[in-house]
Amino acid sequence: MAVGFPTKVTYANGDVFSASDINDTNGTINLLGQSVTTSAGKNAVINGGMDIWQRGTSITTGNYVYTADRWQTWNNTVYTVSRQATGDTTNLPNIQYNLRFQRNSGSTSTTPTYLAQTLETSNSIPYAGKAITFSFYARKGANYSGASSTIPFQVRQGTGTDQNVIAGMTGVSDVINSSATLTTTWQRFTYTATVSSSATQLGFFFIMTGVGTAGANDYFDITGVQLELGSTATTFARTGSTYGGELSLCQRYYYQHIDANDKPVMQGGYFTANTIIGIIPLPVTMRTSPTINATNGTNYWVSYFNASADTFDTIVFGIVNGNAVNVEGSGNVLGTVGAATNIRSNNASAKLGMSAEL
Amino acid sequence: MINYTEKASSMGDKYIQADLDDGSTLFIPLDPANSDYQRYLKSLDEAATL
Repeated sequence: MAVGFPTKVTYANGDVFSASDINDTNGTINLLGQSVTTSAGKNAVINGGMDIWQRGTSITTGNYVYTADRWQTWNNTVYTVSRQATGDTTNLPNIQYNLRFQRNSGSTSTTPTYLAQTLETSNSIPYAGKAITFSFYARKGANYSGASSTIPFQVRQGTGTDQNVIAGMTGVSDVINSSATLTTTWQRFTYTATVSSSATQLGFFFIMTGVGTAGANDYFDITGVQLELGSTATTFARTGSTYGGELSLCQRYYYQHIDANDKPVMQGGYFTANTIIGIIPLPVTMRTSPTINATNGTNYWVSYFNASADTFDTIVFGIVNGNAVNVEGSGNVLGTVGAATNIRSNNASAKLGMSAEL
Repeated sequence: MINYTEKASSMGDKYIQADLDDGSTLFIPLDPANSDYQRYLKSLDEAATL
């Protein structure tokens, strides 16, 4: 709302409009028509738009199994989490993808199954003692079996440091404990509450509990998840603003280095005739020293050195920190001590990822 | 139930190895801030109380 009228009506090129040019005794200028829609960082939920899927775009649930980046499942193995195109520019603000949380067709499991995200302490503390608004877009599949078409969810707070919301947080309590009633059309759901002034941790989860035998479309879709300061749900925005920014934020927690055949793994050298060592720099500094998750097998890797190829089976731990991973090649390695080598994947199933998730 | 094994690299750096049902292997650093290492320590505590 404007608070006064300009006292100066004619401006020459180069004149500067200032507060003294306004007939307003309070001396306050409010801007008209400004709407912040894409400010990076206002949303505490990383990958709330379900853009980043480094581990794959269709993953079976399990205990502490990650699906879309930053999105973790728990308590059941008969669900599939997949990336879907929203294909809806009417009911969604131009969000490209959603996460589909689906009980597999024919399953009779009625075990509650969780979809969760935990915020780091460093990203939770700014919300302590403040009003927050939690919002998301969701819809159900035609055969969604959850009771009364609802999806229960909880936003939780704790007083520990970097603890997982599923594994348990010290001093845990609910900030929001509610449920959304879904239809087959996208809806936005918004909830406002106040975080405890002593909170050092935030996390949240959705719980789907299937009933009876799952049909072909026993799922809910979700996207545009946002947790922000204030009592109003503003337009959804990625935390990292752009796709690249969001990917970098995700890579603080997980980095998929290899997931296909004939991809560059690292430069290295023969430490012994039967052991290769090499270093993989990480694209961003990870939250902590990462776990290496490797899928190895017979001849899954190949070393090119001295104009020859040396296939081998296994990549194992060397030493790690948040900036780089030192790994060793072993298992049928046969080379020349001291020779430099270029390592590639040699099988479509070969995988190498680094995890620093909470 | 994950089976953990304590191992060391060729250069003597210790780590924890966990073989998963999906055929992949976790190589876990001995870092207290690493959540996989925390789960490993928790499994030791649980085993000790059985």
